[in-house]
Amino acid sequence: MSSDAAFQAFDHYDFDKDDRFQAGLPSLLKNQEGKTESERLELIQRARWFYYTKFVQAFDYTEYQQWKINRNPTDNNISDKQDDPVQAKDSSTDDNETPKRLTFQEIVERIEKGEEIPGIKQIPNKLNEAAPSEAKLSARPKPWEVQQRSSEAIDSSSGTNDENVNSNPTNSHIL
Amino acid sequence: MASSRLQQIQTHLAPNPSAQKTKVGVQSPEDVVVVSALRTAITKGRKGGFKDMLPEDILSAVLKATLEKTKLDPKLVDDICVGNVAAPGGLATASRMAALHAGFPDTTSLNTTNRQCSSGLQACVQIATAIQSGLIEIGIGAGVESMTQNYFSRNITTSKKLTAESQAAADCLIPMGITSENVAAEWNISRLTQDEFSTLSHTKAIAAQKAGLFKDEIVPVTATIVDKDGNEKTIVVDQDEGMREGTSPQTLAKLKPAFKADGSTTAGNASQVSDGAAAVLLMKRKTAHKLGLPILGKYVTSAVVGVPPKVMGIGPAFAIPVAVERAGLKIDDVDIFELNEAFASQAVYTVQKCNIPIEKVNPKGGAIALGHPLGCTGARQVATLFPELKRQNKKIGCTTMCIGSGMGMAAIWERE
Amino acid sequence: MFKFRTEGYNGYSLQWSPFFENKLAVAGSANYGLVGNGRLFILGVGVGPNGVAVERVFDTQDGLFDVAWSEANENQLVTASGDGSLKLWDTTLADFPIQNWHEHQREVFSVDWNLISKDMFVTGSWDHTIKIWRPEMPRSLQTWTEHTHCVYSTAWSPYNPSMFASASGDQTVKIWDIKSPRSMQTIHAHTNEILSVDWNKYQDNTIVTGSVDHTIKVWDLRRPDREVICLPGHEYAVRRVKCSPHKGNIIASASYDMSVRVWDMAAPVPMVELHDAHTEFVLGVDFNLYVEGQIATCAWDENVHIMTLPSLLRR
Repeated sequence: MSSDAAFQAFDHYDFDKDDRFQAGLPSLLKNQEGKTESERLELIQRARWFYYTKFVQAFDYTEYQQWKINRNPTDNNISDKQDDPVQAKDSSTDDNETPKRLTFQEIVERIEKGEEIPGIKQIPNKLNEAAPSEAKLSARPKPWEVQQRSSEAIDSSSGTNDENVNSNPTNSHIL
Repeated sequence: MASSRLQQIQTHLAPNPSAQKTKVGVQSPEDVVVVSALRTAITKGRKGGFKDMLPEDILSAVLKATLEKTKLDPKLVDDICVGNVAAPGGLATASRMAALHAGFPDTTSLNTTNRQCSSGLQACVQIATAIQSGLIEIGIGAGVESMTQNYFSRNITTSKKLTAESQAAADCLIPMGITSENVAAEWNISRLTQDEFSTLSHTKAIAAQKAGLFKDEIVPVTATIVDKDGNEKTIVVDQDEGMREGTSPQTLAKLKPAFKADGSTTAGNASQVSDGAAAVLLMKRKTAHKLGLPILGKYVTSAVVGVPPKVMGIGPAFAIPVAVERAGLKIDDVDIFELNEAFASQAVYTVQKCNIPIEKVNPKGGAIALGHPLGCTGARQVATLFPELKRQNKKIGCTTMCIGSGMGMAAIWERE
Repeated sequence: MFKFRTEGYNGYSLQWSPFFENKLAVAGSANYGLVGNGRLFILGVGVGPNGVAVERVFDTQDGLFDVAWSEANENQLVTASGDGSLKLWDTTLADFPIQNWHEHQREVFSVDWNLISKDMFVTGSWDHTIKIWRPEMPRSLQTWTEHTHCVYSTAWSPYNPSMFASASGDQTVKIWDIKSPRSMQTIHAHTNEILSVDWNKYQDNTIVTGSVDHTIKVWDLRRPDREVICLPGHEYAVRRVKCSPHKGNIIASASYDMSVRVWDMAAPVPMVELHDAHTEFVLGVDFNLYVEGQIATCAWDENVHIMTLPSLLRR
């Protein structure tokens, strides 16, 4: 992998999700009260590099710093999180995600060359062991069915058309 | 997997969606498919079963048979192209009459075409291309030649200006037999090699005929023939006449060179003078599905190349690689070659130059045994190719030939 | 307009819940669906600071190309995947599906749940086949092999429980009755691949198709030899067409030209609205059944848009 790609991958690595890294961080940040904010950030960045080089992919820290400067002289961000719009929080697994975000062109090139695409997770091929939920709600008529029924009701002399109509469930089932 | 998903999206985004390349092994509704490929028997020029038939009579028979066999509504055929070499006016009016006689309405248009020995194939390619570009939906590529009627009286240019001022132009008037001698000499193809190749042609043709391998492609034709006493008789012509039992290098060795005193080209290792016709019905796959018609396979692509007129026989050796590459294949991928045997010299040259395993070449024999009715051959080869691909359970075929005045043509077909 | 980002996954299809007017399922695939994982997002609308919140995500090995809510159980939905598998999910249970079917030999592009009998769903695949399934049965009920190219879209009739339509790369739409081994009708609807088909909810016998040839066509099944109307306008392939559940003359479409369009068949100029906010191919569009005028779209730009379009609220 080219160093450019490695640096980018490091930049996009989601350290917040990496439990192992997060576990080691508190002890590292102990006794840092006297330091300035930028010193603390530098320390965290170094810690990240050390961790990443050891457990994910090795790269040279000085080269990385140079690369960062060349890319964006004013950029000293540690986090690349976007504020808007809302992002999905991964609540399903705790897997380490390496979201190497390739452009469409890059993906196409790799496919055409037969190269591996990074970041593909292995999802176990298993079924949920818990019992599925029971259906509690009866069918809600579609808008065209309602119209149909009301026109039928008008046509026929008697007519109640609420065999299956729910009283609008509005709970939004946030789990 | 990923690459096929990518390909699918690219197909969806193609700027001219209908101008997609035909792919071997992939079926698309836009493919030009062969619904039928039929031929008459090939008879001996001047003495065979068609000797008293005019080319338009033979053509009408094969066109009619195409309609009868497929039960296609004739008015759905938009255009017919007929290859013909020797008849005056390119047989244009007579061919049109033949189509009308065969049952096509006057709304079915027609033209004839002449690219010498490839004319029948040229006709198929013209129709296939018209279908691909959307100009027509259904067409027939055909070919016919009565060498009996037209070959010996054909028009050959006599411009002194052209021949004096251009050597290559002058070379176009070199008799075909001499071009064969030129090829044999230039590339050291011995008399024996040529005779062995020719023997093979007869052997294969005879075996094929005996085994009934031509019955799917030959349509019987009722012909009128005048016997030596001047009496008219009606016969059914349904057997190729050219192959000769007992042909061997020894029997062929006895023949004298036909074109050059010390030459190697004889009547026995050259294609025969013959009469015959053939027709190939073409349309898009989606049209065939819509009409519920069977599909023999598809036309993939073709190529025409130019070569020096004085060695015109080398044409196929240069056309084949171009056509094969255009199809996204290698020569090895082709299962059967229908290589026109204008002369054993040039056929052998082609086989050697392109490194084709001999068992892939003309499995049912070639023009040396079967005959070469000039305008018909290109379409005839398609009719011979498909049943044999099916019989051998093979996929890819190449029909190819050299062309007098210095060209070669090749087409790639895929059986389905 | 609410926006939701399906981070890391390009949106392929979405559907509003047939039970809850504020619930939306989105089928996404990593790497533009070419290779890699898939993710099913269950979203709650009108919740949280940004108007959309994730209730649940489910991860799959291969990309997800379509999703269909169960009509029988408000918590369940089925996804169609690039590896040929179908998975039934229960939103009350995390991580793993409650059922998995693997019969299709190639990518499954379409899944649709029967609107009337509510007891089965239909799928269409690149393997050229169409299958129907019951959620409680381990194997498909029936397989039809008639299309000669990829089946991109399968849709149940809104008024006949045994009838559905299919759209294929073979340039035809076929109408099927589940009781019949062969299709009831074949319409050569376009001169190129057909990527989507939907039924008009208010006019019997009317279907709508969207094609690679850039057009949308409306068809009367009683007169299938020519379209009722052809709606050109999209500049690239039409990926999805949906008939409004509220107005019989309204159609929404999503295209590779990155736009979503609303069409009014009764209007003198049919194209009545153009939504241009996506920055990549738009693949999914669906109408909220219970909030008239609300529509959701998903695209390769990893954005889901939820909005109320003016053209849908007229009259």
